[in-house]
Amino acid sequence: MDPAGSSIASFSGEIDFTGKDAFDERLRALDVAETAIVDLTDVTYMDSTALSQLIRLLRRRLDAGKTAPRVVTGSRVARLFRVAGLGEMIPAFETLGEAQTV
Amino acid sequence: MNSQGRVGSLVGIFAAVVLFAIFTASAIWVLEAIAGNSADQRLLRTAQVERARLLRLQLDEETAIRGYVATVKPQFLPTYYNARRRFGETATRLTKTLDALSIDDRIVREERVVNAEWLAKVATPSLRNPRSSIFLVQLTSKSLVDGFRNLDAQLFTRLTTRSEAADKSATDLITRLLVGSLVLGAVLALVFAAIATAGFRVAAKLQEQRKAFEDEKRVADALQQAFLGRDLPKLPDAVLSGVYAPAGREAKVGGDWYDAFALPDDRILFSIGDVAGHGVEAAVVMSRARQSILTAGIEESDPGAVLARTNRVLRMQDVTMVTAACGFIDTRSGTIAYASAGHPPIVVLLQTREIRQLATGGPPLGIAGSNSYASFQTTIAPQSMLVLYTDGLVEYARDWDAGERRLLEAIRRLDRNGPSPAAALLEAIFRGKAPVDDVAILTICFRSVPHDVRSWKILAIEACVMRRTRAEFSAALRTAQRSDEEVEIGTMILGELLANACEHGELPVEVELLESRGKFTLVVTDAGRGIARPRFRDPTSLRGRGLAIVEALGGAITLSHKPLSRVAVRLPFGSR
Repeated sequence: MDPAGSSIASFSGEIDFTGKDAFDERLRALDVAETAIVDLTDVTYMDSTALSQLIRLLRRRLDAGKTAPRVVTGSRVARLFRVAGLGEMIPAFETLGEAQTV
Repeated sequence: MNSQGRVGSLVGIFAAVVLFAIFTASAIWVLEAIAGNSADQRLLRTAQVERARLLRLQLDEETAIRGYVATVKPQFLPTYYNARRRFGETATRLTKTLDALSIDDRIVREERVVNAEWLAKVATPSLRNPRSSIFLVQLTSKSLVDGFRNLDAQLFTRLTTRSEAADKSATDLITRLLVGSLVLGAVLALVFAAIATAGFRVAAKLQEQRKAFEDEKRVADALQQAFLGRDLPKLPDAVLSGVYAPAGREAKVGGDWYDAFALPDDRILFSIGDVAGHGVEAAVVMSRARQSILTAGIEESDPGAVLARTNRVLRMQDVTMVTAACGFIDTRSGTIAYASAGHPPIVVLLQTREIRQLATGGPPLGIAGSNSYASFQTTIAPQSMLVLYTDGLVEYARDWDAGERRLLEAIRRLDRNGPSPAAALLEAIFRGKAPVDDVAILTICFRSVPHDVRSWKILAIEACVMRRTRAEFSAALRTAQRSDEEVEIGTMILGELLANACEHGELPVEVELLESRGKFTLVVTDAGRGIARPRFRDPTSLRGRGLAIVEALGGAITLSHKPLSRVAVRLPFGSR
């Protein structure tokens, strides 16, 4: 947890359905944080099962009265977020810095 | 002429032949009898001549002796001796002739006796002593010669009577022959008149039936033409040809059809079928069946489900039996998914000229409550031609197997690139003659079938397998000169399809990257039964997201299942 009270989970490499349980486990660490940031900057590939885990995180946090998680998409995952139409529910940022300053 | 008329005329001809044979036999018999009769007549004439000669010889003998007694001059004696010498042989000949005529020779024997008595009592005493008791001898002689004359008269009468009787029987025979001829002629005339009358009646009836049939055929033909008039779809990768041949005049119009309809994304919905029964009614059922298949085929992607829906529609309308095959052809991926309801198998002519018959499925439509029709799916080898037909193309032969062999042989020889392989096949089977039952033929020739760029088989769900497949897929797209963005999008689409197949389907999962005319299609198949595509409601729902993303990326999806679950996506690449 950083001074601003936000929790950051950073990922790298390829995230697909074969690794969704590990992905989910790490997202659950963000369930109760004041501010949750998912850093996907170094993720080179991601499929929609990972998006589903992010949506589950969103639901858990909204149910707990927290804010929506913020996602740093990087260049490779941005397209997935765009076509999935999640921008309204899960705020996406190009850099970690942007995500932290809002 | 119908078979009854044919049998009637055969019986008539047979009767005429029998009568004629009887007539000929009796005519020969009569002619032989007449010939035998004329032989008798000749013998009778001979007998008359010999009888007269015998009397003459007796009279010669008597005249000579009388002359000799009166004159005692020896010149009378040669006549006497000559006559006496010839009497015996003449009597013998006469006896033989009478024997030949089966007439008793008693009279001749009696004449011989009289002659002998005359020799003993008249000739011998007179020769010995010409002057003695002339008067008495002459009386005896007169009495004996009168007796001889008497016998001769009897024989004459007998021979004459016999001759007249023979004449009469000959006349009778000829009369009978004439009467027989007349009777036979009359009978023959009656027989032929009866046959002709029956023939006319049958012909008139046929004419009537034909007119009724032709009226109905005109209506049914008009319906068929209206249905079949629509052009077959034109596609870049497949060429379709169809032909419908109505039955010849002797049979009736049926309810055969073929149909092909272009669906979005280069798919074809095809159907072919045959309604049991004939005439306008069958044509109406045909239009229902085919419309129902078309309607169902636009909404369903599973051909078995299309047939099941059509069966329900037809069952509700209480129609007769309909055999049909229908399916979808995906010209992008070169695959066919089809289902069959009691229809003859679809034939595939491979580029190697080999023939394959595709498996067939369930019962005909409209008869059973069965609402489940198996769907089959197969890949079409490059440059193949599909041939669909109705059973009129085979049933012209009494023997189905022989008809089918001949059909397959004709398909083997077909020119795939001809203007209309369907019309060529019809011509090859019927050679210009009208078929006895309706025939519908539909051919689908694949000009350019997609070829594999790469394919992968996934046997285990492991991160490294997925990563490697994606990497190799990306590399294949790069090798195919696709841009970085296209490679990224293509790989994202692959990832979504893999996730779906591995999470909801069954191993093994197969991935194929196909190319046809610069267009790329990604096909992912798994061994599962497939699932209905979930409705993707909103961005936060958890199910159905993968395919929604594929579509959002611009991929055109074709889903099919049974027996394999299969997703084909036309990749959203620009043309080069």
